[in-house]
Amino acid sequence: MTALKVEALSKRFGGLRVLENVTFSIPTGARHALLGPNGAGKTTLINVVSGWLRPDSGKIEIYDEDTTGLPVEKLVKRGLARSFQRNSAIGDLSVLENLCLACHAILPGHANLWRDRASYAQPIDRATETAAWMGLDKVLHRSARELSYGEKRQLEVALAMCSKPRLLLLDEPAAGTSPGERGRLRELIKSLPSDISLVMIEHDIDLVFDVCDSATILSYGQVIAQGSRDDIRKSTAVQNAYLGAAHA
Amino acid sequence: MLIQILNAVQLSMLIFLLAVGLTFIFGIMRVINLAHGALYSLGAYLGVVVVDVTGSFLLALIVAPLLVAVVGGLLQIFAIGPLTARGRNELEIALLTFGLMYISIGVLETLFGKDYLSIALPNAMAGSVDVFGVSYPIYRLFIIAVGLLTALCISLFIERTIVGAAVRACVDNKPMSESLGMNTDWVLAGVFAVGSGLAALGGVIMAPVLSVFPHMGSSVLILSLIVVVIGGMGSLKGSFYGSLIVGLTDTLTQSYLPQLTMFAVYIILVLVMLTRPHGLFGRPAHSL
Amino acid sequence: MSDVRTLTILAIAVAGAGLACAPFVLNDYQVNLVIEVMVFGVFAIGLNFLVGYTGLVSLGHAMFLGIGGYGFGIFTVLLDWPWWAAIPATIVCSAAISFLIGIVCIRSSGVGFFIMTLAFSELMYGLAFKTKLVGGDDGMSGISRPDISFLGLDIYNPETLYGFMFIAFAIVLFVSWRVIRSPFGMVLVGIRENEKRMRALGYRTQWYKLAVFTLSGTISSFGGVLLVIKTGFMSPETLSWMMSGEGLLMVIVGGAGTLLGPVIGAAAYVLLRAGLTGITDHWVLFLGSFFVLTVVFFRGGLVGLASGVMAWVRR
Repeated sequence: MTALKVEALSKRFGGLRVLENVTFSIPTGARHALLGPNGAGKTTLINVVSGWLRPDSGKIEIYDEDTTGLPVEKLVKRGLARSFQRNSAIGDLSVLENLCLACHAILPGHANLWRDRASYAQPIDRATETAAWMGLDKVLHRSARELSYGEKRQLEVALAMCSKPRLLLLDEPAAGTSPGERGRLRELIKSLPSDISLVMIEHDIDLVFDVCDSATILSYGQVIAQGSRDDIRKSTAVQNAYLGAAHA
Repeated sequence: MLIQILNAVQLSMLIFLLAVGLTFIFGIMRVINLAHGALYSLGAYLGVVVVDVTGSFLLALIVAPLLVAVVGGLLQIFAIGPLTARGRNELEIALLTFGLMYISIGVLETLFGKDYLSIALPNAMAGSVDVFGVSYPIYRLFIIAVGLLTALCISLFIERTIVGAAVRACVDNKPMSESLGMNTDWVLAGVFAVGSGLAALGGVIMAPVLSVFPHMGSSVLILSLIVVVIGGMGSLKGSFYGSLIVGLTDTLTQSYLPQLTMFAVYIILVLVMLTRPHGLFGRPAHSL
Repeated sequence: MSDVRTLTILAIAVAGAGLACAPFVLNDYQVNLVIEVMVFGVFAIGLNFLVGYTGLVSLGHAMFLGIGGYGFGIFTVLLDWPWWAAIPATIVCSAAISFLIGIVCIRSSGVGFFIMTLAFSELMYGLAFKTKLVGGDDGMSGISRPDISFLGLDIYNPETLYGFMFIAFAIVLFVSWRVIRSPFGMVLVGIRENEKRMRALGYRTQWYKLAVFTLSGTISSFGGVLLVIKTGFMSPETLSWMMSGEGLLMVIVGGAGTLLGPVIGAAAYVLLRAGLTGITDHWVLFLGSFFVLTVVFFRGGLVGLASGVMAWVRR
């Protein structure tokens, strides 16, 4: 079964072609990397797939359902979750409250104005579990603003995981982290359940080749190569366009 | 009918004098200056004082806007700029300017009382002329001319000069302009000063036609804010055409559909918001 | 976290005890001031849902004072309904009107929202000013207080009115407290801090904004009902820009985004105005200065100042 299928996707900003005829698909349970130099259109692709931008043309299917042009909120219900390049947790709230917010969103009838939110056992349990699994249990009651940078990145992934995704999009999960923090994130990403399909943008090539089994390379909005990890490693086109210039 | 249209254009030009400053300040700083109406009142009062002391309306027309321009520039350099740098967000700044508006109303009340003042029409412009068969006051034509001339000068300045290009760059992308080595603080202070000066010019120019009182800025400010929203925030074109739309609507409903006065402008505003949330000439802000 | 909790419990205990025995120790003038604090407190609590919790700053909230006040006047005077039917009817109507205004206003955010709410309040002001049926620019007078003589009480007695207002105020405070503790309340804070993130989690934030706009408008309208019950008179000036600004000042001076902040702000506002109008007729000058001082010096308002002091003492 294909988890994500992108067909002939194009997107322009004014005269600038950010995505041109992008086609790729990944099977369920895949660990797929989106690679390419800055400005290649990787984040735009994630934004289009996750409903933040409408494509000019092309088609997107998530688990064989056409989701082209669906708004962000509806895609979450279809099992899509994403993280952001910039930390997006709510700084005023604690780690637990942030995760509860995320778990609460997928609860049926969540828009309750009257019930005490402390009385919802299920989202709180799931939030606590997720925090423990993501190594955030020691900072559960600290406000998200006070976390270390690495912990903030962990929280970013944890927030996406709370939506119970079938398809998870991570936008540079390890960006700006120290080597130690990166190792920790790498282990966390590797420990994701195998039935979750993952698409990840990341500049750290070692991390990418450790975590991912396949990749698509974008350059100036076009797919210049795709294939398994080993294909990509060998491809000279890739080395010229990207790997040679990579020093992240 | 012709007279109504001329009156409408005259009101539009007054609104434009305020709206153009508001929209540029907003375009660059994302700040709405609610003290803009107060600067307009301040201009009118300074005009009254200058005419009282010197007897020259022409002098008032020059001195008042210049003084208020200095006030506006100082406001940016010593209050709004530093507070923004210390992390106050756009809404806090708006509240600050809201407070400044009240303060200025209070100061004007203390200094001049709550009475209505006015400036006598300068003799040279007291008469009427024939416009396409109807007699129309020269002074009102003068107001229209000043408005059109201002619009022309600003658009030439913005399109043709290097400083204008700097302003455009700041409106488009302020952080980028800064990283290119542009001193945006000076651009901001300049825009603030010119915007304030134009608001004051509006105040002086209207003093012979309308009465001068401490709250005089409020209703004009609201109309200009509506223009900024209708035209699209940060757009020069939008502020010009928006002013015409608002001025025409307001004046024409007053004469032909009096029961709709006070409402027609808002109906247009709601319609624009529902169909084009970013205004007629505005662009959605860059996001993501 | 625990600082805020201790402070809140302490404040509630002191305020509750103080309010309960207020009519027995204060003279009529002072009782009247406390009633005013509660009336404006309700108005500011409503506004705070929008400004403090959701981060949508409304510059036109006085329109809801007007909608509530004129609404109660229209039902009791023009339609001759009994008060116990008029109050719920006014609440339902204000909710409906808030919802409709909200549909337009939430399409913009930030400064645009600011201006849209201002425009709607000017529209409402114009409506009140021009409608002869509700008195036009003279305002609407002769609105009676609820007749509760079946309880053997006279509402025109200051202590009785105080009791009535105290109950209404307590209900609003309780409802607000529940809403703030509900999941909905946390989503509002999330929208204030990062709307994008909330959408990415699957929250349909536009609906939440519309809901909180309606809630906020309804609570503030209820404040309008209380106001007109107290004064028996409604003037278009109640819907003015100035009143909206004063409401914002209450919320910000007290502490935006806290349950009791707006009430504390309302108290500060009522007392200051009462004190200042005795010695000066330049109220606007002071009003403006308070705004400037708040933005420049204490952003968290009085509640923020207090919890800051608490944190400092504990250190």
